[in-house]
Amino acid sequence: MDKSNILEIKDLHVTFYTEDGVVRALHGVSYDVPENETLGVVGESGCGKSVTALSVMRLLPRPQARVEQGEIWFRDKDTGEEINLLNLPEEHMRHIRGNKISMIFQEPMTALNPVYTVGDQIEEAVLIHNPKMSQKEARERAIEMLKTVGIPAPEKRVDDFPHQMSGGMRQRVMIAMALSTNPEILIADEPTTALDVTIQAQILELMNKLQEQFGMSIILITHNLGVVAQNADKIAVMYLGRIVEKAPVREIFHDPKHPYTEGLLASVPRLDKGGLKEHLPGISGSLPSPYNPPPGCKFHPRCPYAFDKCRVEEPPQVEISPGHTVCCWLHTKEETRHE
Amino acid sequence: MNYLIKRILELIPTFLIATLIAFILFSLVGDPFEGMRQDPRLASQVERLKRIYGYDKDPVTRYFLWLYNFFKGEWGYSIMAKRPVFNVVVERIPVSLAMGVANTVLSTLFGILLGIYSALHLYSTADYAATALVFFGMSMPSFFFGVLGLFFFVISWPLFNVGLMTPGFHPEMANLLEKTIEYGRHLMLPILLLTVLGMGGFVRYARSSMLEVLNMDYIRTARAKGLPENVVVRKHALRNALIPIVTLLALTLPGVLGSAPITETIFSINGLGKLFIDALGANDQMTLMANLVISIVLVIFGNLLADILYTVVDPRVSLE
Amino acid sequence: MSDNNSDVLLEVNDLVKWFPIKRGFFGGVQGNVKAVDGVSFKIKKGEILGLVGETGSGKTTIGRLVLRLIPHTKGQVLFDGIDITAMDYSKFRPMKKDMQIIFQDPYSSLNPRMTIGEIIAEPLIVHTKMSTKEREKRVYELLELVTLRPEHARRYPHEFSGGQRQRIGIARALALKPRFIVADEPISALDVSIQAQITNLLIDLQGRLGLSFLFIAHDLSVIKHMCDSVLVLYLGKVMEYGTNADIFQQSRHPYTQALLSAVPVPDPDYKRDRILLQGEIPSPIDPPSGCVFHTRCPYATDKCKTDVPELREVAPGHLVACHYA
Repeated sequence: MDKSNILEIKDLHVTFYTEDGVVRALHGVSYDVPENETLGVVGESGCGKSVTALSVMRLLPRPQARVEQGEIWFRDKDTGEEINLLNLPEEHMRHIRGNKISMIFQEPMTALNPVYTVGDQIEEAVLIHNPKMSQKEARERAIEMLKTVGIPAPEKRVDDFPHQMSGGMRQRVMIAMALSTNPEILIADEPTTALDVTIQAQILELMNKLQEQFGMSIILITHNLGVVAQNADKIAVMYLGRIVEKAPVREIFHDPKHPYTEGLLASVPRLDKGGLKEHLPGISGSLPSPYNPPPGCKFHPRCPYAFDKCRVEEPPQVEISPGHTVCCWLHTKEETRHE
Repeated sequence: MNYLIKRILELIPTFLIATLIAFILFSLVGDPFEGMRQDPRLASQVERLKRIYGYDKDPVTRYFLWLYNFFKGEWGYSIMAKRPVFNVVVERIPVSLAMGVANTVLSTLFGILLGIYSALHLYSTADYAATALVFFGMSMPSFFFGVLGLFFFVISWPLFNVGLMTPGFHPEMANLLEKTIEYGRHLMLPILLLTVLGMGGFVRYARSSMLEVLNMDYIRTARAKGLPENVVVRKHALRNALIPIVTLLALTLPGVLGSAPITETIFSINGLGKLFIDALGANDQMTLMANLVISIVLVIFGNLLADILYTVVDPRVSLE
Repeated sequence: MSDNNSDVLLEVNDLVKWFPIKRGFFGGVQGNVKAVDGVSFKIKKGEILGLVGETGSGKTTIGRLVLRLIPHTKGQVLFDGIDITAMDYSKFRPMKKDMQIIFQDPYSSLNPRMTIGEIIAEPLIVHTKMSTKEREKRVYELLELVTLRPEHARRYPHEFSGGQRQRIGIARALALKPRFIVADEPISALDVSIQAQITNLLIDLQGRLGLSFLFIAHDLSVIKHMCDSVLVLYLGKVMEYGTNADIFQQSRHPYTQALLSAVPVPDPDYKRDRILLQGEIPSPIDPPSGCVFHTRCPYATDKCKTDVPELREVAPGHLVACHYA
């Protein structure tokens, strides 16, 4: 593992065996999560961004999903050990899941158990990973965490049931719960998608603040380019189970190399530029069915630059500048292009 | 609390309307003495009997008279048994209660357990077996199933007794153990049959409820916390899956007293169910009313109990 | 927004919608949710008006009210100068073909047991006396208009992707050649690359067919891209109303400014003054006194807590409901 990374995913292949057919959900996904930084993972539905996250948590739906190949290396800061999470026995994984790697989800309305108070649910997370802690200490920790995430009157709200809170509050509770064990990595899967825009701003601000305070890495999964532009250090762009481009945030937004990244950026109307009713260049065509993906480069049917090679052969991942990789025949060296 | 009082007060009109409808329906059948007119020797007595039993008045007046007397503990006179209805009904209660309680407890308990086990072991052999049992129980009519039971376990292979008590057995002389064994031998088979028949609904309900809950986001959250799977299931899934079942349980309350008229008849058990069938045949309206009142009261209180239980198990529902 | 009344297609005056809150089995009305509380606006022929707001702003309710899909409580909706809220429903029925709606969810708004051809032809059967041949021809025309192919008419909704289903929804809405369309979050359920396609299609159709739109959205970037004029709502009340430039270049209301500053912009170097609103959106069941926004407004004074600000014209056609704008 690289010293600056806390997590490295290497060549991950995940397949779903469903009644409707076989879906290769992830096809050679690799990305690194640097320590104390935010990696933004962007893509449209079915691109595999959530599946990658669930693979890290080892929470893929069973028995449909199977990890076919790959490694997920995690550096345990307490012991200095490097662990391949995919080889870990389940009982060891439980000490990592929710303790060293925590996750929050899109729907704050349904992500909390309706029959327990938010305090109970936070205390449960604290106690499972700190078995020596007393019930009372755990409760104090829960209140402290609610205060940290900006919930007013935490001593009172700790006994609230989830239905007594608004969506924004519940997402704060989810964050409080996720951070109550002081994790190394927070995986946030579309954490603000279900929220109103002013509440979204509050939650993103809170996550940035807590990242500094707790010193953790964040994997921020979203379809919203604006959200990652302003909250991530590095970006991975995914399309149909592959990472098509990876780069520091500025390079992705100012100098995108992959036609998909380019098209995605050209799809969103902008608050900062663009005229009224101007044509959005965007991307033509629709997302292919995951059951029946196109051969060659998966993006070629929608790519304006596609040539013959793209239709038959999958492009390799090429590093075009330090930290900037792209999977596209346009950017492989001439000799590989015309071999 | 105000809500609870209001809710209880609402039971009164429900009770009155239900009993009134039952009363009027029974009187539409005609009074039990009309048939006597066919017999020239008795025809002269009809008017007199009607007066004695109160059938000379209109049904609504009779209803209110009946209601007044009912609350005084005078439940009328059973034409069939030639005794006060109250005595007839009360002596039938123990056997029906024993059977009803046993059947309700067994079918709900095993139904729920099997349903949840099925959900946790989806598409396993046990799951398929449970599904088969459900279909068997839900599609088999009790009279047919009952007769089959009689044929196999009483006639071909006399494992159990049916009907009247064993000759030579005197309940007043037996001790508790002897009584239990005696009752057991007579009631075991009908209880078993009723359990199999009654379980189906619970298996299906518990299974689908549990499956639904296992797919909820908060179950994923619980797993993401690092909880062991058994805690996820026991603490997070089970409690939510049981919420709708608990209320269903309260609604089975009427089942503890004589909701098995057909089974009681087949096995010649002198319980409330058989009393109801016999009274129907004899047009014994006072006995029928008493029997129905018991059911109505149980249904009404079952519903109230379901509402209260709901607020206990689900914090999202309050009595206010 | 110069008033030349012959240009105005839809005019809404002081529209109010209260939803009663009922309690218990016999319980009476315990109060009202003031979902829409005195909203007025005009949409000219060939204009897109954007309705923007967060949860509880009443934007979807307004969309339903102007089409008379739900009864209003007070106020007027004039379509082509005729008050459609006051007229008999039987008289209003023929007017419905001029006013159509496109829904947010392209999955649930199409009947799964009807073919695309049947779905699009349905309004033609109800509202016109076209022959089967004519209807078929019209269906093909409409499919082409939304860039679908004629053979799609024989297929069922589940065979289409989200973007294609939204195109079908648009074709159905256009079947009767309406003059006015309510588009209720028409792209927010779609993938980013598909959103762009549908946005382009809507703009193209609007220009080609000279349609007027009431465009309901929560995404300000989309509103800025599409709408000639904009109405900013908060808890059922108008906060600010003006042209695209008024709202996006010279917004005067603190709520509009906060909304704009909260929109994530896909540029890591985009700098702006961030106004981070504190607290939650209050419940419309129990809205704050005075200015409904005062509980979250960074500039609120005592006056804002007691006095309801009037919607004032701060520049020609630019209206703001703030004491200090």
